[in-house]
Amino acid sequence: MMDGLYLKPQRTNGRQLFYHGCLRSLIVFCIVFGSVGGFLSAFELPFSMLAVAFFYLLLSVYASLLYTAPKVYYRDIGYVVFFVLFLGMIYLLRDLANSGLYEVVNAVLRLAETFFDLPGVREYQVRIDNPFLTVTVLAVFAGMLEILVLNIWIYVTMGIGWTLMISFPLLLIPLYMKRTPDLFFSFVLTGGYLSVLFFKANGHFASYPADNGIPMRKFQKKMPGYTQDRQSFAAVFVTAVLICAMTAVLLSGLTTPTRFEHRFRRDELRSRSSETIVNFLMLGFAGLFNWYDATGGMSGGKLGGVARIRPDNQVDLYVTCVSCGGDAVYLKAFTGGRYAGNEWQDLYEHEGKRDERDADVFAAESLRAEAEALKDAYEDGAPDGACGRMDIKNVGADEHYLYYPYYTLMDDDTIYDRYDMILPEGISLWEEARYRYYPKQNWRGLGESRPSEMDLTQIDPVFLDVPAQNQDVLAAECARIGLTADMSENQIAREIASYFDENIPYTLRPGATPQGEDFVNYFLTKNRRGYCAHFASAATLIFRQMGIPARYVEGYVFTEENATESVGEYRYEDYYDGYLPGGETVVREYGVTDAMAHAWVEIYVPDFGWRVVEVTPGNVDAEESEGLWYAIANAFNERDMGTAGDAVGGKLFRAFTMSGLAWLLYPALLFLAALIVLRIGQLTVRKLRRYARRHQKNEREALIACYEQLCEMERICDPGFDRYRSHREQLLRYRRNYGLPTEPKQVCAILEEASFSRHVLPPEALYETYTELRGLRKAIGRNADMRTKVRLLLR
Amino acid sequence: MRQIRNIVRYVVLFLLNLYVMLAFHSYLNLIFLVVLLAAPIVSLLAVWVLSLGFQISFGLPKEALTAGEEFCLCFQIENPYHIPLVNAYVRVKLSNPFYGSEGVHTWNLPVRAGRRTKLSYPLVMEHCGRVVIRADEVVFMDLLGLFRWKKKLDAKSECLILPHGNLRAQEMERTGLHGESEPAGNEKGYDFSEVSDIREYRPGDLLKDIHWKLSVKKDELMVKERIGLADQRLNVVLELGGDDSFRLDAVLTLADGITRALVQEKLLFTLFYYSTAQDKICEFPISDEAGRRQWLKLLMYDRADSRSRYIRNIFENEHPGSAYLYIGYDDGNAKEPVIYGEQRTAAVLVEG
Repeated sequence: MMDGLYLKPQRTNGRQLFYHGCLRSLIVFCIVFGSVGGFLSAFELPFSMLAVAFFYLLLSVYASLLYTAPKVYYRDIGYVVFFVLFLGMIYLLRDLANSGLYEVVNAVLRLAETFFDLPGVREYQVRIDNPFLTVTVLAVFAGMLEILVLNIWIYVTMGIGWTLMISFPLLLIPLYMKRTPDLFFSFVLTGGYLSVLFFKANGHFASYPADNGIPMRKFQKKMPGYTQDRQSFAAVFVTAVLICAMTAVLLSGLTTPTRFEHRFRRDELRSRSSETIVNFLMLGFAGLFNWYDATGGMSGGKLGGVARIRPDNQVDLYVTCVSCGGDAVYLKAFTGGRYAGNEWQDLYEHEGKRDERDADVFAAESLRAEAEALKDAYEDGAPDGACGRMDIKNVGADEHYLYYPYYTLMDDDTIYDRYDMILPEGISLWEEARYRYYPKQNWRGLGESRPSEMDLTQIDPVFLDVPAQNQDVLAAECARIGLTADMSENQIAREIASYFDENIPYTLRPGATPQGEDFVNYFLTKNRRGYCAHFASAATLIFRQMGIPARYVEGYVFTEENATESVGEYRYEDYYDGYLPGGETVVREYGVTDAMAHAWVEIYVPDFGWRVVEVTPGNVDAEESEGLWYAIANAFNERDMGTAGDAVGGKLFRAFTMSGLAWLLYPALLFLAALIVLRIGQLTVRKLRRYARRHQKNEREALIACYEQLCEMERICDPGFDRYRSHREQLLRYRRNYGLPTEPKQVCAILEEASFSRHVLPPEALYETYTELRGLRKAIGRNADMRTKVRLLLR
Repeated sequence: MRQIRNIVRYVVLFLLNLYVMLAFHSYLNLIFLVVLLAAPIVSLLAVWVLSLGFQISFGLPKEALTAGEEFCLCFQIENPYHIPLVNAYVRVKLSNPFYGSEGVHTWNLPVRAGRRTKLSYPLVMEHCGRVVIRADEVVFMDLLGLFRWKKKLDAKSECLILPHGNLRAQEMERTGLHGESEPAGNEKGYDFSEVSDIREYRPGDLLKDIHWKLSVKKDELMVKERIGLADQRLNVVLELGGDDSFRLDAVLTLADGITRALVQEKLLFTLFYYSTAQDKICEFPISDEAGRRQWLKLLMYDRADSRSRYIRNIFENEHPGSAYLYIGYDDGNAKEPVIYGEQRTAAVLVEG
């Protein structure tokens, strides 16, 4: 405090510490209870408030008191004990916790379904149907982790920023969906936050048992402070709670959440972000980054970001029809018109409310004209005319789509008259649709015309549209394939299929298309491997490049291999009439799995209409697919991996991989870089300030600063330096270790006079002493080992 | 700086909350917002009200202490209102006028609501002298650390830190000091000394030497100046000059040990030292422990001086042929019997 006067550390007051720890635990309790309780109350989930409060309070006190332990390792033991208990409890109560989690997720999804007008979200099945119990258990477990993490920050920084980051994001979910937590939880949470602000503002939070109350850490100037005063702390906490309580009560009298909501006329946030949120809800994290998953085997034209396909081979559709022999049966679901870099847009180019024009679009999409022509031919008794019936039951496919065979004539009373129900109404789960279709079995003479000879006046220009960014790549690809303008449609189709088959391997693991890359360009120029969506997309654009109207189609393809063992009492006559290559067969049921999901191309054939072109090759990329290194490499980088896969169809399904978490890497790296920059900035500022203090105009103060910094350096070199308490002892030690200063007695006298007296000191004496100390400073730096030098640099 | 950081943090938090409230139309954030608006107002009002009735005082022990002894600096804070405050900063100037040391510190004190707060901080003073504590202002910061409120103070407290040396009775005997001076009869009426002169009272004079009758007549304190029956009264010459890094402490400690032994042996002696405050040589006759302690206390109101005064030479010039006991720094050349102290200090008996 001054020369010879010391403030003696006080003895740790255990009782004081205990109360102090309890007070801090109250802050943690308020924040976590307010946050978790607020979340659950906003979703109107039932839970036992008393039980949750009891466990939170217990754990908050436990976690808080760990920090008042006299030894650090007691705290470590405390944490280990906690984790063992936590794991034990979560193991014993896993069914309850899981069910609670599913209850919460289901509640959120149900609300999201209503809020975002989603076409239907999956509900998770709960094992124990007692929401009151299961949600309570889940709340306790979730709160335990939050308490543990928050407690650390409350003790170390008492920062409102960290507190908000830990506790508030949970509440953003209900707030986004315009659900307000109960007033009680809002009040508790606000009380916690305000307490953090109060305690952070005074810096007393930074006291530890080791401080013994004095001196306070974290203050810029070291000052003696009474850091563990529980009475004033308690009073401050009560003040914070009272302010919040009064505010909450007054505010609830003035306005309600509903009235408050009505004050806002515009909703920018939701209007701008709801699409992304819906993507996220439907597709997971990948949806946020244009890395689309396809649900139920369909991707709906979304292309980029699919790193790997991993079908679960569960049946999506049950189809009952006559045996298809060796042929593949295509069930059409989605038609892509305009290609937009990473997706195929559907044909319904409108925004908002659907209108009658959609019925026309659907007629074109479902090939009504072609079906009617075939029906006429069948009814006129054409030799190759036929009419079939197909029953399709949706047991797991995406409910957005209808799945129907080619050249189906749908009943007017079910589809066309209900144009406003066409989209997004597809076949609901467990619904069975019955279709009548007129197969085209004779293609002779069709597709033999050159593109230049085709009359395309009736064709929508969108089916010939090739985006500018693809034109060069496609032109080069056409040249590589050997396509020329004098080739017929059939020749071009054959060449493309053949080229793909021979040159580009099929793989279920093509790797995700990097952000910003065009899907087709990346496939044709860099990756050159892919699954059906890659081939179909590329081929569609190649056809267009060659002047042939083409469109991208998704759906399911099945063959005789998918026939089930089911033996139904079906009559052939009920399901088929007319010409069938190979003669009459039997009616069978087919289980179409998600692996049968597929993408193909439709091209326009003059004098008929649209027909299917298959370009996906049957070859597979036969790279090594087993072994530890493969698995490890695969987990981090899927782009270079290829493996055997189903050559017939591929489900656009994205499995969890590390590469899928690459989006986490960028923020993490950014955060790291920001930390490094911040640290460097902090060091620079610190060093500049030290330099400025050493070189200030007041020579006396400069000398004191120089000596102070010298002692800081020596403390780093020798932690036992603090044993030397007076200037004399310290200077003698310097002399012993570094040979400097040459006149410790004189330097000591000057330093002490400068520090503790008001005597006017001659500038020469100050300068000489300063020079001695500077020399000493250099000597300390020279003699330090490398590790210490680094520590000195980073101080 | 802390205040600026608090303000910046608060403004950022307020704006962030405002943004979330407007973006999400969040009623919860409306509650936060109102609290964020209300809290500074409440906090400011609280600190203003508190500053009106706030009282602070502090004190050091009244009795003299010895160097190295623990004592407490006690703050007493009175807050009549039911408003707590965690940040009351008291700027305290500490000084030891004896050595000319100074230190300025800011004390951070909690102010409990509606009661008197007593806080004590244990201190240890290693050097002797006087510990003087002054406080000229107290600064209140509100609970949120956004506003400061200053209040002038004029509080002072001090305590004496006396040297404490080991009793040097045995060494005194060894050096032959025993019997050098006349034993003093302390009993009442047993005073064989002669009154040589009557003069005005000077600080340090013994109570028993006051000539009460004459003092009443003259209306000012008069003191009898005595000479012992045996003319040989021990002179103790104390070197206070030439202080080198608190070595004076060692001299004083040695002097304390020796003079205590002399008093214990009931030897009368006179202390000679150079007073920096008075800029002259002071004589201080001592006959008992009370007188000795009075001298020590008086000495602490003087000042240590880094310049050497060569008290021995001055004394020898002024009292030629007198024997004396020199207590000061050991130059290593003493031929006379010596008693050694710490840090190369010694007491040397110089024959007349």
